Amino acid sequence: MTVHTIPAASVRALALRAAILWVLVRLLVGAAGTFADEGGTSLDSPIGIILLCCALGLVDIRRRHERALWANLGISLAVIGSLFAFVAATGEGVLAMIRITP
Amino acid sequence: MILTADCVTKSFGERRVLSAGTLRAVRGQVRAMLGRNGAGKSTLMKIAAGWIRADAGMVHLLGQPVLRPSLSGMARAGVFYLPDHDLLSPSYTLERQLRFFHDAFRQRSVEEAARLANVTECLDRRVHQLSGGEGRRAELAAVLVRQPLCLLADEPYRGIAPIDHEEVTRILRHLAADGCAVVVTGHEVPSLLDAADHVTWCTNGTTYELGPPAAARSHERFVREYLGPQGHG
Repeated sequence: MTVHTIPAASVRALALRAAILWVLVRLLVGAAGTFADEGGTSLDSPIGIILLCCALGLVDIRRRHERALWANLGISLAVIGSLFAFVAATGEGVLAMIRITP
Repeated sequence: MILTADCVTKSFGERRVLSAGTLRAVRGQVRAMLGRNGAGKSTLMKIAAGWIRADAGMVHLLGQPVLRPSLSGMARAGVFYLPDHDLLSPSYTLERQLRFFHDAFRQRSVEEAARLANVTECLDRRVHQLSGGEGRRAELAAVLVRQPLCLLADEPYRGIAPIDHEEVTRILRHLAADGCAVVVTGHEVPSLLDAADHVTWCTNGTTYELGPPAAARSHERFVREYLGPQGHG
């Protein structure tokens, strides 16, 4: 039996991808918001953005045919989804701090 | 015995693929699972790996029952599932993906695995830049880095040149010599029987342990119903 350590290199690769995805989603939702009514889009909330990033991240894994790769590395889809959500939540947090800073 | 999937049943809709299939992975052995298309070989392997769920049956790893097998959980415990395609990502170079495995499991070095799999010159390439044979050897390099307790390889010989069959056989034998329990499927009978210590026949939803390749070649019903009148292999 071998000891499974946290695959930091894999997490870094996925986190970078999650960060890029969050930026793209933020830009798209922002652009969509400018064309929507005053209330903005239904996704224009931190929770909506986080859920969208999580879902799109998992779709991207499937699109790249990477399910077997990450699973063989011991990383489940739940962990990958959580990572995408965590990165998006961090981005939303930073954005909120920038907004409330005078 | 490293891994067993016992009395497995599985249906897809109305169609029952397995009614009592059993897979056994034994330390230091290469076991070939043969059978016609649709006999349930790949399904049984995926169930043993935790890739799909069985309708009924039991998976044991190192003698312990695995109640809700998942591939990621099985992988952490030492199982490696090599699908018939798409193990490696087109998004990263081969070296980077081999480093993922080394980083996760701290087993064999990337350089040594690449040398053993004869893909050293491919390390800086992405998967879509490799030939079929190079791609298969690249996937086996990932297995060599991982050094799993058990390798479940679905059709490792499919779509590659005869010269690459020899390479794949050499790597599978190397893994078995290291103590890995190897189970392979496929239809490339000469290569599979050449690599295998033991043959399992998957037919009519169940499995038969035929024994060593010589016993399989002389098994009348196996020859009649699978190998055919030419007795390939």
